[in-house]
Amino acid sequence: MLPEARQDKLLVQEVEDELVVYDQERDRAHLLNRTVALVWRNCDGRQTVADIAALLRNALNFPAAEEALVWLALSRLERAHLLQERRQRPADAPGISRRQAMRQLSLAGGFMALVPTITSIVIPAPAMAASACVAFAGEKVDCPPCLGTRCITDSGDLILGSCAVLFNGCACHFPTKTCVLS
Amino acid sequence: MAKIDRLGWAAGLAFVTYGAHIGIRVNDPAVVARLLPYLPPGWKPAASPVVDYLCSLWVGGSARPGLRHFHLLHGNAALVARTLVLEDVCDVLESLLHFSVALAARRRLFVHAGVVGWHGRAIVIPGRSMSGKTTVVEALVRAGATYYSDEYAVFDRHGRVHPYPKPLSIREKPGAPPRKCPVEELGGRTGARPLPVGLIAVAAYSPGAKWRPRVLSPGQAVVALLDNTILARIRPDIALPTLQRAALGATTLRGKRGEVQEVAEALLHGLEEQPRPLPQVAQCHL
Repeated sequence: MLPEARQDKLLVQEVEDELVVYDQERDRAHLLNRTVALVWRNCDGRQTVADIAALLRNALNFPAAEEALVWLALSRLERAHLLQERRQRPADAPGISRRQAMRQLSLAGGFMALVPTITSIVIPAPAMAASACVAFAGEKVDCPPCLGTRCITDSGDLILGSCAVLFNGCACHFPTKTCVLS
Repeated sequence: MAKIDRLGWAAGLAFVTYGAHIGIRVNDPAVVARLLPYLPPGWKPAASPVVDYLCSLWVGGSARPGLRHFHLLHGNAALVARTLVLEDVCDVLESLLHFSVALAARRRLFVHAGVVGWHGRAIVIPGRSMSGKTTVVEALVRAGATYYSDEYAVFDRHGRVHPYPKPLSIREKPGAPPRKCPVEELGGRTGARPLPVGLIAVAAYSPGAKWRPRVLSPGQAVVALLDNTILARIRPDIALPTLQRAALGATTLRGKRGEVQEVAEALLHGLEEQPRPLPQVAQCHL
């Protein structure tokens, strides 16, 4: 298998030895740790998994860089839609879970930070990132977008929520008025 | 927008702040002077009436039996508020103006965060509404830090933070309406010059929690800031390099906080102990 990194509609920002990859198609940002960043950078469609594992061993100078670790990184990248196309892992390819990788790397002498990880967030729409809303909720931030949700005060006034942090149980910030969601 | 334009607009004002041109139009000229305290910090009258964002405030007349005259507020073409209380609609207008500045600002990136200055560096506390930013900022200012903002960290392309010194919106108790509080009332002062970021604190409030933060990598710091960046979706090409520059010189901490006093002291102390970044050497052109 010759894994190939996706290139289109991605913005890549190097931050020391990590990569922040912005997916403009899905409005998601992914933080690739050093190991995944190295694997992704070398997914050029020409190198095999074994080649990448060898590169990893040299670049990171750690003994436990088996192919299984590359496969784990590739599965993370695939889940984040950062590979060109979904490819079936060969049946005889060595597999490893994240937990097993952590155990292996900790036994290898404190290489825990090199366990392949991708941290992903959904990038907020402008209204979600702002506090321009007229009704506020708690600090829960991963609520579904609710643009157009109406906040009706007990005097019958209508206030349109322009903010997606407005959700069930919201409290209007105007005194003595309670909000209900229509 | 044509339908709104056909209403009888009698007066208005256009202003510029942070490079954003914002307009407000009203149907009652007497209201314009009343709106001035709600304008964003640093505003100046604009020479041109062409604006990036237009707020339209329709002040309802006096109510007659069986007939209610609502005050209406539109942001561009969208109805934002409809209420019978003029103070309420003015509060919404104020929020909308801050938001429109963040959207339309030029050469500045707005991140939803509280900011103070301490010994020449900025402490940035990113977070959404109701996450307790203002509470932490208030405690830091009372402890002697310089006030920059309780709403937005305004970054330039070098990753330095500029002040956005609106009055603090302090809630006396959870769920209560915010009270506008000038920083001088807290015995603090407002910063004037841009600062490099020294510390980024992602502090979620949890009653009774002890502040035992873990250190995040610069990449994790960029993601934490990106999650609160107003234009992250619209201009990621600007947001990513700007936030990278901001995060690289800073220490980033994430944790749950309980009492605000404890976290404020820890943040100030933590920044004091950090090594200062090397001064930037000016390039010489011979």
